[in-house]
Amino acid sequence: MNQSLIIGQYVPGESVVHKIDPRLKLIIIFIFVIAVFMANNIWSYVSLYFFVFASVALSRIPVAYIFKGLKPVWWIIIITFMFHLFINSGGNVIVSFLGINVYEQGVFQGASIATRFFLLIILATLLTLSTTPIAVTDAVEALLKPLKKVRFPVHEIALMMSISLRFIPTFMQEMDKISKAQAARGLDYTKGKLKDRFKALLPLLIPLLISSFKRAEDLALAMEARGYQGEEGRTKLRQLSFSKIDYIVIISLIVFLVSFYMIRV
Amino acid sequence: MIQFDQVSFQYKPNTPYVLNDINLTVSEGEWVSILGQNGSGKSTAAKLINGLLRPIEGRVLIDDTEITDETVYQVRRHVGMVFQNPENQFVGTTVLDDVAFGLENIGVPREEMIDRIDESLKQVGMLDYKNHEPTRLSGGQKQRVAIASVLAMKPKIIVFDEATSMLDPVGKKEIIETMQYLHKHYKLTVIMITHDLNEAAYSDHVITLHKGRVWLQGTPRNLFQYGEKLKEVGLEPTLVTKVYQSLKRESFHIKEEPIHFKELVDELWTLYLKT
Repeated sequence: MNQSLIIGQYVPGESVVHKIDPRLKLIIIFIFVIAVFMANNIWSYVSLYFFVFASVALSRIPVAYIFKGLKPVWWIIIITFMFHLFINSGGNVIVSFLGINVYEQGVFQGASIATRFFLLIILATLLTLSTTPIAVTDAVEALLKPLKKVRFPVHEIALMMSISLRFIPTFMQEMDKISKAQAARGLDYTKGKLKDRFKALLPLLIPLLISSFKRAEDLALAMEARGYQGEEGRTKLRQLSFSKIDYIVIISLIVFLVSFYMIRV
Repeated sequence: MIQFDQVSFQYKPNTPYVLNDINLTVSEGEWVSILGQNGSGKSTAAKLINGLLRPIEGRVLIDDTEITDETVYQVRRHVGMVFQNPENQFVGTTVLDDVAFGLENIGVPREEMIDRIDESLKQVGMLDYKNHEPTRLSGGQKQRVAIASVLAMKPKIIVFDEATSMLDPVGKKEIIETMQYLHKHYKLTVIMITHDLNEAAYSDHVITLHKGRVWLQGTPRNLFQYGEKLKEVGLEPTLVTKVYQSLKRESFHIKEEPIHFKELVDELWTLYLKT
């Protein structure tokens, strides 16, 4: 369990999708978010479905993993669909049962909202499945770089992200240890009223908080001892560079976007 | 190489001095242990060596350069430090990133960085674990990565601040062996902060601190002669010393006090031949 946390949900692979530069992946998702809200007829939605499913197929990641990512949001998608189905009353009545009318517009509106959710979540899941968290961190740092001009602490934020990633498993272990130690002293946070359970969490959280301060202090000292003095004069081991695949992806993306724009009305 | 010139230190004004008028010299290529019980000031002394702390009075000199705000970053390139907790000094998400961290800080070009990382991981025998995350490593392995991170920066001095105290016996042995190897092959100056006399036995010199003052400066043999008196400064005599002392009480004659286990064994099996 601890193991899986540090690499996130990453599924190692050698596919085209895995090899795309993480910066490009983030940009694609950003463009896709805009595209999803610009789609306005059936064919434009079909082309978006095509885009997402083609990406999934190219990634060679088993569909089961992707559906796992959808699990917590299934019911949101269904409820939004139902909501629009019953509320919206434009166009002709298609079906009518138990005194409720379902209109043409309702079906289209419901389906398109559900589609937007569905596609965005699949694409985001695909990003986390095909990219290591640290690569995402690097990409965020690279993309935010222009903000440095307005004194936005890009480097510091990226460092914070990567240190958090590194310490997540450590804190999971620590939490496990503390909860066992407190259980040995008779603490039970699984029974009783909600209020009591929350109260019982305090003896877990306070030691964790204290130890995290201790760790932070040690880490700061270790970083300083290794000559850390902020961003100035720093070089980087991990470097992002565009390869042939990225250029092919960019060209395909442009082709797709142009055709998408022509399809919509 | 390392020089403490009348160094005194206190953490806050109006609190007792943690270090009191310390004068020390460590020459190049030496292996020196700084011994003492908790609160003797030994860890404080370690932090003064690479400028993590600055003395209240006196000066700390590295290669005749006094540590000041201007020189501190330069000094840190020459003085590496390995800390006690293996978990809390691991900065990177993988072994590779962790070793790279120090090199990135001092602005080593990327190409050179890759070579240096491989080289230093090889020196501590961790090259096969290059892409491992810290959770997949044992305490001893994490400490070896910490040593590699320091080595990659090509220091002249490495300070081990109780670097073995949180490890199991196997991990301890790994680290001591790595230290011996580096000391021998790369002529590194090793400063080891410890309260374990077994570890101190490996060093050329020992400096024992007690209540912020130098209690004894000399060779491990000088120190071990104190026997039971070491308990007064909070140190536990080693098994070898205890056996030697008991033998002496029973008036068995051993010429020179053994400090290593092997020396004692040699003395014992030759004892019968002599008498």
